[in-house]
Amino acid sequence: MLLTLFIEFIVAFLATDAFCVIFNVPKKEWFFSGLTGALGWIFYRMFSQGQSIVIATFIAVVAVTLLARIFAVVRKAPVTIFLVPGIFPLVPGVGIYYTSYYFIVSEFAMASAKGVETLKIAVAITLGIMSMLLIPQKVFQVLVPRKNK
Amino acid sequence: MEQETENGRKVMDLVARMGEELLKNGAEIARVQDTMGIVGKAFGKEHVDVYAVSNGIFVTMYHNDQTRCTQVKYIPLSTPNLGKVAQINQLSREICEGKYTLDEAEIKMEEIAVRSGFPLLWLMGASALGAASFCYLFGGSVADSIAAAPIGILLCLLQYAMGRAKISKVMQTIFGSALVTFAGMVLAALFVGLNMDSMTIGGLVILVPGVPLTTSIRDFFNGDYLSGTIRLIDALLVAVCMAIGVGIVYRIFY
Repeated sequence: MLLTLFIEFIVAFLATDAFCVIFNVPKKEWFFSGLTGALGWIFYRMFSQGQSIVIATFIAVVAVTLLARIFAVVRKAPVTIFLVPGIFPLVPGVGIYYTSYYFIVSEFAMASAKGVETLKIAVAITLGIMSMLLIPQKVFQVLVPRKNK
Repeated sequence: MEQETENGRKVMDLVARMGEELLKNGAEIARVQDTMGIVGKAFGKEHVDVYAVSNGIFVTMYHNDQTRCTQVKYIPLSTPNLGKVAQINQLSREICEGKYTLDEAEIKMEEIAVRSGFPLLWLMGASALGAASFCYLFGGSVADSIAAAPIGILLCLLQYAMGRAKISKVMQTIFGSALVTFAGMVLAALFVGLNMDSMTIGGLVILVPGVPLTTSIRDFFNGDYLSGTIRLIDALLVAVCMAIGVGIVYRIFY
């Protein structure tokens, strides 16, 4: 179990960094982006065992956004750089695929179930990001010793 | 007086240019407006009124001699380059610290604007790695993941070619997801034991509208509802196009 998680951590790290290249994230931030994505994925895996995947996605997105905000302050870079690649493993690409698959093979009950689940995941991502954006910037600035200004 | 207007025009151009590049490369509205105001202020323009939406910027600058000037910029939605957002962010920080004169800042800004992203070979590698690792994460075996890598490369080449040919984003996404599904089907038919679903999903994740979705959420959060809506529709449209691409291939070959 632990080994599986470890392997998945590495793979999620690589997956996130692949998106760093695609979106031109500067090389010096790759490690932190990768860490954000990989930890997010581990949270998702741990909570998707017992809970529904919607709840697991929410918790994982909360973790990803929190990490992204911390790294943004520490690394003095926009949050987007860590948030976008980090969120990718959680975005419901699978849901889109299965929704249209079931739709085409005329299994409409399955198609609508998958479609609704995809939407729910999207809402979970939205709420997850929003809840962590609520924390004022000042809280994070404590992390950085104030030198300039 | 002449000097003043000339200087004002330069500040205006720089500010507008920075805003344009930020918006084009996936920054959220609040960042665009803040950066433009802050940079204007750093060069002595106390009053810079900015109104930005996802695909346009309106900016008015008040000069000290009672004149004012306005620029309207139309900025079509395009592929984001997050590196540029980081660099412009850094540049605006340095401008506020007073590191650059106006002319230097202009040159620096142009440097950032013309800088291209990673070369095609890197993108191909990243697509291969992305497709393979997502295939593994979504339940594929090691063999599936290895097979997903060439799908990623194919997708990357197709996107590059279509980008060159200026094919619309809608068609790019439909063709892209159709190609991925088709390639997954062919590979699954050729090699027994490969799981078509996870290979296809690995490739599809590359097309997922992650940037518009996150930016849309952040715009909504900041109260920029119009921009949030524009980007949300962008994200939804891409998702629907992906589904259409998958659907077409299934309809024809299944």
